[in-house]
Amino acid sequence: MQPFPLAHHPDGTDPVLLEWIRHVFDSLLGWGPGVWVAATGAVIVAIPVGILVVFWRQRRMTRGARR
Amino acid sequence: MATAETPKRMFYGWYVVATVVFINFIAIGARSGFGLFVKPMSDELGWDRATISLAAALGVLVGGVMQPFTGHVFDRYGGRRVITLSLGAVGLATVALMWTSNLVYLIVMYSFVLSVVFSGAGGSVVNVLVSRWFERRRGTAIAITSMGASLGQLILIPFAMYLMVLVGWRYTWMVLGLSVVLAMPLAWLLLRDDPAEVGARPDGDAEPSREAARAAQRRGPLEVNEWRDAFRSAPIWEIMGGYFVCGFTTNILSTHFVPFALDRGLSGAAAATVFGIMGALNIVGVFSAGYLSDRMSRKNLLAVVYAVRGTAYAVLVLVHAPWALYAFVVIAGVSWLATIPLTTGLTADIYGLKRLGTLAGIVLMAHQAGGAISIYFAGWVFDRTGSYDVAWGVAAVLLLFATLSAIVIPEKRYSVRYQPAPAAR
Repeated sequence: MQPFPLAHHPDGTDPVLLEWIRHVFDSLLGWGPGVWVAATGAVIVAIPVGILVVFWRQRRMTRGARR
Repeated sequence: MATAETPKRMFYGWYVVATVVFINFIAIGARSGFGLFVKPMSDELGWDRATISLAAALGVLVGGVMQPFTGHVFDRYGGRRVITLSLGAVGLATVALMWTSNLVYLIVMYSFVLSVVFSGAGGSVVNVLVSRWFERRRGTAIAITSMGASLGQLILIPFAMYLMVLVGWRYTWMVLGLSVVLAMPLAWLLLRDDPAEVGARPDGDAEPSREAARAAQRRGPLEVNEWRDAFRSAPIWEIMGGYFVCGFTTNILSTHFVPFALDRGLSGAAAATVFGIMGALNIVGVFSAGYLSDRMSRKNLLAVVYAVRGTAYAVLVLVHAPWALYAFVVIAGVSWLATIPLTTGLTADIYGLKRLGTLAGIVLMAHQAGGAISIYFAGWVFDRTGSYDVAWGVAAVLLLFATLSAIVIPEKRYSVRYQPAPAAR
């Protein structure tokens, strides 16, 4: 039995599928693991930072306009 | 006058949605990466794949069983506290997986501890929180948050995959765990349990006119103060029965599709491509279902989704040509996640928000039970018949029942969306 790749709710992803995904990525872009980690890591950090920036900017604008 | 110059503020509910998207992204993405660890952990610790898969399967069951309890805690203490604390616990439990050295540790830490705390950060509770912020656009909002999970798998899995190449599986667990902890401050800062906490109203509606205020006081005839009361009415059983079938017909495929496609003569790469197409289609499907469900009957849409998936399984049984697999993927792919906003939306519309955490947890538990049964059922059938045809046939028949079960839900009679506003005094 393999762990489940595409369930509704969080479960493991199929190792065969993952191996294939890695192969496709490598052949498409030819990036090294370091570049991949940096690029995807940047996206992971950018999402919460982006949400907070939008939230604080809008809060400041609204407060400024009220004054 | 200040009001004339005040820039238009984005409705706070969308910050809640954005935060939940990130929570789903990071928590579900990290947990979905378990498959990545199967090979390196098996190789280093000398386990076979079946043994390590047992931990994954147990995790699904424990997570499912825990949902009603977490939902109950959510109803009692509020989503912000439950979700934030759970995120911290999920992060720490994920970090702790780096010290795995024997199977008992893996089962205790992954299948029990992580699954228990995960039920407070993912699963049904986040959808319940979003349901409190939206009424007219509830389906769309839940659909968007569900897409966060798909996005997480898309980004976090390559991240973990390449990180493992650089630092090995132990430190990859650590980094994934710390990434989940990253969501804690965001959740604490932005999540709010109720629109009233920030002086807003559901959907971001302006201060209501007398007419709108009366409309807002609508209550469905089955709205419950105690979750047990819901089980005295038929719709919860119809919703749960359908979701059980949903779990059965998604997990059966998730586990057995790749070996099945290989048996039908597809190469490993082609089987994986087919599955990848399905992943992309389910994002389209869930958004479309959520959006449409805010504009038409949710139960009819749910029936269509089950019928479409049933047709796909029927194609798989009746047609043995290679194109049938591709047809299946296209037809079933759009239905894959589409049931989430419809099921949660219907439960909220019919039974109200007061005990929605517990009720949505129980409904999700039925889904997970269906999933666990289907995995073993399909394996059992294959061992005895040498084919998956019986398993797919059973899935098609069950989906027919799920379709009927959705059609008969008396939505117009019980859903708050169709209730008239109370008369003016």
